[in-house]
Amino acid sequence: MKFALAVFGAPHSSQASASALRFAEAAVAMGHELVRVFFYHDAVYLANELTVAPQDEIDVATSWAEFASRTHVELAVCIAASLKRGIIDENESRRYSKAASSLNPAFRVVGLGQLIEASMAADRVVTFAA
Amino acid sequence: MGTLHIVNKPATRGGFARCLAVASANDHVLFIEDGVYCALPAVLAGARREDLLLHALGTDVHARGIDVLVSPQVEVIDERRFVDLVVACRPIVTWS
Amino acid sequence: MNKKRILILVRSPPYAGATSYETLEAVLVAGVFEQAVTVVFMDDGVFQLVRNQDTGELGVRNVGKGLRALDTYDVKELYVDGASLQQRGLTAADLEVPAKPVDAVHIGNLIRLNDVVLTS
Repeated sequence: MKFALAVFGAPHSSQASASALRFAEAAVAMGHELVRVFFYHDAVYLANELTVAPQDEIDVATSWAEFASRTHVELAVCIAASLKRGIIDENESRRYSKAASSLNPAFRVVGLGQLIEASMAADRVVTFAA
Repeated sequence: MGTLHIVNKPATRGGFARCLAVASANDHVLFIEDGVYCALPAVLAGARREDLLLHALGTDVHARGIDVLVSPQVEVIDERRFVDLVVACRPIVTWS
Repeated sequence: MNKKRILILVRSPPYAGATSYETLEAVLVAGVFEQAVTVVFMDDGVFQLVRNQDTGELGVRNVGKGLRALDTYDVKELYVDGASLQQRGLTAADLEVPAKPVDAVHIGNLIRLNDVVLTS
């Protein structure tokens, strides 16, 4: 089956991104397809490259990046939600004359339409809320 | 095809009550994250519904140390069974 | 591409943060993609419908005004939970956009009829 995952909860203040990853790992291991994982609202903070995780915890962002690299599942962050939260790639950083860029390259910045497109293409949509 | 209701917060937040008010008979309810606290017998006693299939995600139950406290009415499941529930149900609704 | 039936359950008040307006934008985009969109306002989400919202001083986008755009984007299936209104002392006269009153049973039916449900 084809799944689309919508992740809405922020890392650190919710388990949303961690729960979604465990679901994603199981789904792929069972032979299902993930059309896209779409991060919206505060979940876009997961795509901040500049975080340093404590040694004794699983770094969820790194784990997602490894998962994506292994499975080629697209990790999409909404551009509007990202920009307002300071998750910004090099191009946008130059465009807005910001001091730095912050986007984890494992994540792709896309328009909100990709959430709807993923919902259209998938058999099931699962939301991991705040 | 039944609906899968995912509850991710404790009962005090109101999401579980909402879920109970609108769920249809034979729908599945899966408690994840802090929602697993809804799986305690004292909380379920107030639920006044016997026609829903209740599940709780083991990883979250275990993290919170409530393995032996979870109501026998609730099936503790792993992530693979979570995937199976998603396959078997549509739509999937998350209640916070 | 498939046309899906997408239901959005709006349960949060309008100005707690960016989430409400972002949800509204998702609804509008779903309309642009010509999906069959239904929105149910319930719990504190009914406050999003209250008329005369004026966010000029707060400096944030006006959710009530944004909801008026739904019709233009062909999102016309708007419902409001009667019990949530009543618990908050609100009536249809207090609301910005027309939304059909529903009860819990009806909301349950709407859930069953849709392919995708997003909650906010």
